[in-house]
Amino acid sequence: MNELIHQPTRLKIMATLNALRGAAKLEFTELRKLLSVTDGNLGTHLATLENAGYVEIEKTFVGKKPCTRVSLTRAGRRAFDTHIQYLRDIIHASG
Amino acid sequence: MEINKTEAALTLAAIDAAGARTTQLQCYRRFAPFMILWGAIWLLANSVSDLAPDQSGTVWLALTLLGATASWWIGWRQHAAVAEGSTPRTRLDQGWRWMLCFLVIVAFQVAALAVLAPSDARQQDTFSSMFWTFLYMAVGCWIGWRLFAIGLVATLLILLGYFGVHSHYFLYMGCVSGGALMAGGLWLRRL
Repeated sequence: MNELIHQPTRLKIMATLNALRGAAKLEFTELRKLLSVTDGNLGTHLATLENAGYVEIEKTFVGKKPCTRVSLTRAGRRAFDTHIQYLRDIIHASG
Repeated sequence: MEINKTEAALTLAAIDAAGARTTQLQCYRRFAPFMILWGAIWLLANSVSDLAPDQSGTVWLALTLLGATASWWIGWRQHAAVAEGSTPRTRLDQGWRWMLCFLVIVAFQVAALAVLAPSDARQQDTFSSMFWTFLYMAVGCWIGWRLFAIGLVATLLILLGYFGVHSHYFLYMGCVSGGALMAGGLWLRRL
């Protein structure tokens, strides 16, 4: 089991980003609202996922306002798919 | 760490719920600019129909063509923003699909109006407008309750206007129904 992904908040982050179409990205503030978590909590979990190579964090400026956008990497998508398959296998193996 | 069948099922349910919310958000955001655009067109065209009836036909035609072109451009931009491996050709294809889809619906409306032959411009305007608001409700059944609610409110406002507003009906249609669509589009953009 991928314990890094399985942590509840990180699991929701991965599930949310995995549902984005194609190369779409989600703003940090939108992700925070969707998950109902604090800035600090989200930032910590995103850093963990970024260090694992599962998410990509892009920091830009829109005018003078900083904008942080997040997306899954290919490795992140693969790891998430593998984790979902692991969960399905548990359900099917138990009959 | 090992987990049992129940925990695995709960985890998968949480994953599905989070994914469904993101999908709904993306659908809302795709719809929003089209709704704002056509709300503005309703507002302008209906206002002209009320204030300068002689210019009505020309203005409706011009604004509809403008709206179709703008819809094509919005579809093109949306595809370019999210598609992996997007190329000018695939973006162009996506834009044309949006425009063709719109033209098919307009062609249906023209054919339906030819068959039904409404007796006045009020009936024609009400039919065309209600067609779109019912379509929003139908699509909303699949995409999300906000779209359904916008379609429902706009439909009720149209019916209220048709049966209850006798002078300056077109101005009412422009301001209230067009305004409702624009407000709905802005609402769809919010989380």
